[in-house]
Amino acid sequence: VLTARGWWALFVGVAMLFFGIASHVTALTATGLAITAWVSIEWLLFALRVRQIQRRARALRVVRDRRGPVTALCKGRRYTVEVRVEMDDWRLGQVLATDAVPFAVRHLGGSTRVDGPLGAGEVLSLSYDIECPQAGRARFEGLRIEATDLQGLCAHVTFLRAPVEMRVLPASQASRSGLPLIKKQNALPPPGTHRLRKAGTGTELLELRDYQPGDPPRTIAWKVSARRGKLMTRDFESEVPVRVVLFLDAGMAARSTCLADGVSGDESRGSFRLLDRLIDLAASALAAFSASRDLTGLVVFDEEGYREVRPGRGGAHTARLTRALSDAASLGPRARKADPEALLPVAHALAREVYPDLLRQEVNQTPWWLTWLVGHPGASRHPRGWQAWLDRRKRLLVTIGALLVPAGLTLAGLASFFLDLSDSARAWLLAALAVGIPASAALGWLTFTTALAAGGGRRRLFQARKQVSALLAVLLGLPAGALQRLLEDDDYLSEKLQQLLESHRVPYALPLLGPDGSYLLDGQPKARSLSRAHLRAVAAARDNELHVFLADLLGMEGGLGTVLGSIKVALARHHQVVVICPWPEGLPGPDSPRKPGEGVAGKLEELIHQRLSASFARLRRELSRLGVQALLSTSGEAIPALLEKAARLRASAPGPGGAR
Amino acid sequence: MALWLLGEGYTEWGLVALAPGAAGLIFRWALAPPIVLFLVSAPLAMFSPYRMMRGFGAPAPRAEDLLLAASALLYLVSAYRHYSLARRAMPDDMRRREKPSDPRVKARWAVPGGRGARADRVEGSEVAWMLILVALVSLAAYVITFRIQAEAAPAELRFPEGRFSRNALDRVWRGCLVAWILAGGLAVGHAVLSVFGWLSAGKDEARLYLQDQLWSATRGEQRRIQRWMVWARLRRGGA
Repeated sequence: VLTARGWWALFVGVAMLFFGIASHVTALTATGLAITAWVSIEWLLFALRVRQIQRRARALRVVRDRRGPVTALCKGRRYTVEVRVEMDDWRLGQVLATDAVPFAVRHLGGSTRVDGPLGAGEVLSLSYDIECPQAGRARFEGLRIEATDLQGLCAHVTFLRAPVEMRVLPASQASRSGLPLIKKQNALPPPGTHRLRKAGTGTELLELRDYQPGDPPRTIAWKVSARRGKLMTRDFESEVPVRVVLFLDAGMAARSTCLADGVSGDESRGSFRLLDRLIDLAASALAAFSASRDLTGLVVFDEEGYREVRPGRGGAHTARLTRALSDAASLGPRARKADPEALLPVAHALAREVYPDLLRQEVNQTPWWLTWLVGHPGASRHPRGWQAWLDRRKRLLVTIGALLVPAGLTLAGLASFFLDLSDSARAWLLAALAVGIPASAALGWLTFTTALAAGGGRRRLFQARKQVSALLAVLLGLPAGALQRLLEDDDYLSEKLQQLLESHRVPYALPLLGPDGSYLLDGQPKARSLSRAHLRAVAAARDNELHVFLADLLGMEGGLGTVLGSIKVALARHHQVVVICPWPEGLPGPDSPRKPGEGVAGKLEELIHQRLSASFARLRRELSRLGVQALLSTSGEAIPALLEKAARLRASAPGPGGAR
Repeated sequence: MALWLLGEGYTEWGLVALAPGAAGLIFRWALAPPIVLFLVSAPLAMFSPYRMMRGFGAPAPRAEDLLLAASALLYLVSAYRHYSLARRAMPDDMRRREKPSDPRVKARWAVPGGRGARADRVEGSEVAWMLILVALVSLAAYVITFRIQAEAAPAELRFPEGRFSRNALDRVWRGCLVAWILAGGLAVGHAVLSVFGWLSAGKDEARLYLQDQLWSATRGEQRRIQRWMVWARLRRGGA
């Protein structure tokens, strides 16, 4: 709690006090005692006050746009965040409150910090503007409170947790592009319907046929019957609604950052996700189809399964779909076998900032000697080099080298006196023992000290791991004993760390390769999920539907056959299918020429470009055989192509795949 | 304080102490108060007429001594308050100085460093309270000082005549007494804060404490169990 100023003042006070006593000078003793007493009283009162911050302070937050307070944000719009910090009864000398701006929003202007005294009747207010660059969820964690007394002798930093989570809804771009959202010709059916050349109850004539007993009298074409001399019946077309189902890929590859920041080290590039682009496309398609009153459904799929919103129309349904898109955008990557040591620094930084009171030694302690004697974890699937190997086995090595081997050799030496050995053999044995025992002990201790010297980083990492594990066990409500399991089980810790970071909406990047070099984001499970979801949609379809795949099929080479199978089934049932694949931002298109890359990052980009271009060429070839259009998210033609498909469906024109 | 030194005959020291004090105020130098106090206390400790004296009683109370204690405390408090107002109220958060342990943490939590804010207002009541408190603390310190100076080492502790002077032994005794009082005060303060902390602890804090106690008590056993389980799972194929 004491600052440098406080320590200096205390040092001066105590020094004057003892010098005064030693030299028997009343003025000096009294001055030293007065300064010491002042600093002590300040410290005690300050410590009592700051412990009340969590209980007595409140943060009230209002997010508003030009029209007033809002409960959900919208991508691309500007909002004003207003925060008031209040405190009952107790008064803190001087407080600096800093609002933690969520990762999902961009700070545009205004100060996120405010300072002044805080207490009964004294309120700190701040206001700043934000913008939401991507859909998802924005989590306002609360405010960092830095408190100090009036003289700055004591200071304390804590975090006033007042979490507020708001959805960031995706914004549609279709209306801005000037695309036709309503019917232009009277020959077209009303919005939201299309004609099916099948007998039904529509208004357009399909055909005339002979009367059959049981036909309703109102369908009899009397004039034609009179001309032909026999009863004729009119058959009308069936007018059915246009149904569109969007299949949104929320798989791990799409959720992960594109062009991983671990390679380029560029955070701004690393923050781009394919999922964000897909969400934008889905929102635009949703807006376009909703405007033309088409029934629109959504299927969000990933490796673990799929979630479905059946096709519908209306404002409430559109809002439901938009919320589902926002929820999908807020998903973080998950890979159980990912190395937790890649996530631990981010989680520890988050914990230190948001939960400093739960990392105090009083409630979350790590004995200092523990890391010197015990290495963690005992077993791991992740190879971490010789330092980690030594660190894990340091206690075993020193026990064997400095205790067991010397003890065994000593016993062997003693036993030699009871055995029938020649004098020379006994002398040689004893000489060997005289050298071997100290050598073994020295080797054991040398290994131990080497492990300690080389494992400084690992000891610090273990301390962070212990603190974060204890925090995880409490925050996630894990059972008793989970703390030690988190310390020993890398997979368990990795899973819980990802859960923590995702719940706090902290972006993080996962390693793409597993410990055995295997690609962690394998596309096979995702392809199976997509195929199952698609077949289910085909089975539940009533009329011809438009199925839009917003999926990263480029990274799904292994599972492409499964997806093509379900597409064939859909085409056989006269549905139309469009595939839109996301393409990394900043990377030239597959047909664009690209300059050779420089450096490691450039070479890597070049390799990625080559791989993705080849994947897209293969995908386009496979799909064109089926008459299915494959588009890229960056081509700018994705939404117009979707609308054209829907218009074709509406007008019952035959599609390229032979479907109507 | 300078006037007091001049009045006591330490003319040079009084002038020397003035210089860093004035410079500290002008240049807002945080180390100025300790230096000034050191320069004030140095002549008192070095040239005290009582320093080499063998055997004497408690000195007579003087208003000048009380004045010096009050003025030194007032100077320290007001100099630091001035520094808070004029330059920075908040010390740097030590966590901000740490180098991020991982590039992924860069530009994320706890990294952007912030300079302390300025305290931009002083209320009239604050000055009045400060003067009252300084006077009270100084007076209390002065009274306690006389009580301490009246203390003498117990007769049982006296060494044979000639080894240590009675004066020196009394001073050591007083020093020990003050050290014990300070340590006791520290312990009491810590105990008060601990009790107060537990009384105001939240649910998560209490759960964390209990969990930590359980972990501390059964750490070894749990570690062995968990290691075997992880080892067995990895050996099976690590599903």
